[in-house]
Amino acid sequence: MSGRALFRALAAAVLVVASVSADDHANDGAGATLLAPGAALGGVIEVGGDRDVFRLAAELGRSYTVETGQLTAGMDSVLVLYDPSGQPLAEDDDGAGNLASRLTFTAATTGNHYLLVRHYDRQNGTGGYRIAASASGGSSSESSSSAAPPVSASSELVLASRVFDPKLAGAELELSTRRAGSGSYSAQLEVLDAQGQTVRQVASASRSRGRTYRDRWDGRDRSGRFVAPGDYRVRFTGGGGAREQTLHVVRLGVRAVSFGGTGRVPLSYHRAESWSGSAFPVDNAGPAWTLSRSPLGAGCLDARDGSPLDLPAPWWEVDGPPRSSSGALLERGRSLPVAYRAGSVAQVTATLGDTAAHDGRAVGCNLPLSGRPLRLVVQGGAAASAMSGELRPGDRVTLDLPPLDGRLGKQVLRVRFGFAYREDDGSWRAIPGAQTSEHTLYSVLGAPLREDVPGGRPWVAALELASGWLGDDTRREDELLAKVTRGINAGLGLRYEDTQGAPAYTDGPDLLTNELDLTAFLANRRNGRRVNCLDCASLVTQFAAQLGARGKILIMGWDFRLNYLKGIGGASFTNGLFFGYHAFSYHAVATFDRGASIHDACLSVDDDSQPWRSPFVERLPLGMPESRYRQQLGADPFQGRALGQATPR
Amino acid sequence: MRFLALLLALSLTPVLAQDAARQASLAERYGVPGWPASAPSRVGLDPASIQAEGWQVLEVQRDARRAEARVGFARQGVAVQVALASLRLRRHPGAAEARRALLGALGAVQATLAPRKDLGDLAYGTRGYVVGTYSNLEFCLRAAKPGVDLEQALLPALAAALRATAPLEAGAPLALPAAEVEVGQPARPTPFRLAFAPEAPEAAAIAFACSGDASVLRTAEGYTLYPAPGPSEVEVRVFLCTADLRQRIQRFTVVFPQ
Repeated sequence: MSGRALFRALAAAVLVVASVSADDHANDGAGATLLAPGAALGGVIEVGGDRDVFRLAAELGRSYTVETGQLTAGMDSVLVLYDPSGQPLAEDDDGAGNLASRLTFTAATTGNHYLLVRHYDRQNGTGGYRIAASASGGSSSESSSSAAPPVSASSELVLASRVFDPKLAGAELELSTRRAGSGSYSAQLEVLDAQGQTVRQVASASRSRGRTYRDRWDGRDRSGRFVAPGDYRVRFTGGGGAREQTLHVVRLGVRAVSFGGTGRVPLSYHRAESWSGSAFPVDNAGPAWTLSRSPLGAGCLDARDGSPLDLPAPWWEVDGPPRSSSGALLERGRSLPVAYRAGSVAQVTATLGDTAAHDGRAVGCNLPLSGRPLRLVVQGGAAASAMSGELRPGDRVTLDLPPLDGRLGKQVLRVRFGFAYREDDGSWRAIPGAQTSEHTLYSVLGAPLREDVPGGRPWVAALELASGWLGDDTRREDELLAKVTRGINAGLGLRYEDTQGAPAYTDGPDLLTNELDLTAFLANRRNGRRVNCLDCASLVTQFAAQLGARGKILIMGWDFRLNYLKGIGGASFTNGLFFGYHAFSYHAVATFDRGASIHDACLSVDDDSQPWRSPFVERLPLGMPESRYRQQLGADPFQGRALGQATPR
Repeated sequence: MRFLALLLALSLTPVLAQDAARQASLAERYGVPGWPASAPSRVGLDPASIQAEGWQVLEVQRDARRAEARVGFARQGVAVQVALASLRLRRHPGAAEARRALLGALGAVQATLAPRKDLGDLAYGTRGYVVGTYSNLEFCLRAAKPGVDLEQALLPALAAALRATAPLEAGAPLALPAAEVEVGQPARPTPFRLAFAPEAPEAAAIAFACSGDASVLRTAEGYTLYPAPGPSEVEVRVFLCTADLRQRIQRFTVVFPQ
């Protein structure tokens, strides 16, 4: 009879009995009377078919004797022993003589064992009895009727955590032991499985009483393999006493991570030459971060040998997601980049694994734990954390990370997934170790407009290049624009095309509606490094747009002579462009305030009161007022101005 | 609504007027009204086939969506092969479109280019930078470094190659690459195959453009369509382009159920 069946049967019986007369002891395990070792209780089988059930809190390895006696006339007792799960272990009729019963057993597990007393005549037998229990060997927090001295007050075993996943990074279980008194004792600290077999001896040494010792268990058995998820006992013996604690070994881990939240900016891989396809929204590849696929199943957290699967590093190529040798997208085992508005709150959705590996096969994670709920705790590098609700294998859990800092550009985002369990007193305790996922994070001012960048999704390669210009401490838009302009002016080895002022990357039917061949530019400046003003203005506005700053190309003037200037990549100021002609048919610059001020990566002006002659005060225009810029650049008054833009291809 | 439209038109007028003035000035500068009639449309030209003495083709990129190719030229007989000149050639549907693109290219140059009589039917530039058209073909030949003289073999070779292109006979169909699309049951992602018609010209370049944030990935087995999450109807445009830049655009639609 299974435990549940036993309890159901006992519950059915109590209904029958209750209709006849009052019952002194419950007929089922739920209401069983506590029977302490060393104590004796009286009972009566009031009516035929009555059963009295008692609960004995037994400890693993300890021996107990339970017997009936002082039977009233007509009483013939039968004693049945059940283990904590309700499985019958033993039965006795007359072992104590004179129709009384006796059972002696050694507990194979710690927990409530049940003793059922009934009459031998199940149908009609009635009568009174007394029942007593005694214990010997080991230790007990309860009083014992045996001659062994009580040791509970003098022996301590404390587990740093009652729940343990040895496969989490940095996971080790600290076991603290202490024996009161003075002198030395021979200490044994071991981990036993559900069958009482020792899986690992953690310590075996002579130790001093009165001192606390801290040992660590790495979750491996004596052969060095991780133990399977399940319930174990940690036993501390020595000096005439013993203590045991239950330990839940579980398997916890995240197998996929995706990102959301209002500040998220979806990314795209552009149509690079090496990509051989169309532009590719990064989200089309699935979750941003996934473990590789275990041979034991998609939800398994471990390799076949039981070791945890490797955590993927951020994918380093910027032209496209990782692919197999056949060109197929790798849908597992990679970490793809993400982008957020600086300072926003990233939302992370973690999908938990649902199986572990042991002995080359998939096994359960030993979850959920009855009466001991678990939570996921996520930390994003800051002090704050968020906790999920109770966990089950395969759950998807969405949590907010602490707000991202205000830095713009590329960072590495590390998300630490830790776990906690609820203690008996209701508090939450951290489980040792954690799993940490790493992500390339681009912090931007915001999502670009669709008219500036296709789909409103920045290109990973563009953000990567621009991040190099931003460095580690760019926070404001004006800083960003200045650094982007400087980066294009001085960071790429570009030179002004000083024979005709011809563009290399920009074309279009007119100056206001341009296409920027950003793909060629990102491909190591495939069209060459000799550029003109339209290229530079298109690049500044486009890279700024990718980072979330909205600008325009300002087309200035029409046929005007120039003061001295220093072209991009030039060594010195000149007044001899275009074989001495030194005039522009037009000039293009970037503006982010509709022309009030300009950013020009293409040339530096002589920013003094006499820009038509030496000496020169070199100034790269970074937010220079347009009126000042005109004055320094041109010897003739400008005619006209118009705003245009360049879309990338 | 009419008032708003008027307001919008008035706000745009100065910009449009300035641009129109600029375009008019540009047209005057380059003598657009006097441009000669164009040659008949050409079938196409593979820029990688241009043979210039002392030069060799170093690299070719074809853009099937723009029916455009870019070729790098390196000096023959040097140990380190570096592209010292590049040719961008684009095949337009007609001469008018090619000339509009040429005018756009001329407008984007900050200096004023001199006309050339020896190249195509319209050409402007110097020994370091030349843009022009030959009917429906638009080209830009440029030196990658100062001092590289395009006159030495490259410009004459380009001129000869343009002259040698076959005219597109009036009314005759243009042979274009063709493919049939084989799409299985829509799934996420959806593999598909392009079966090319053997009698049609070979596609030297293929490109894709998708609606609805979908994307196409090329694999050893064929192609795979990756739709954006959620139900959607995805239209895929397939751009097929021959080596001499004849272009066909084919479309197919895949419906991803909810």
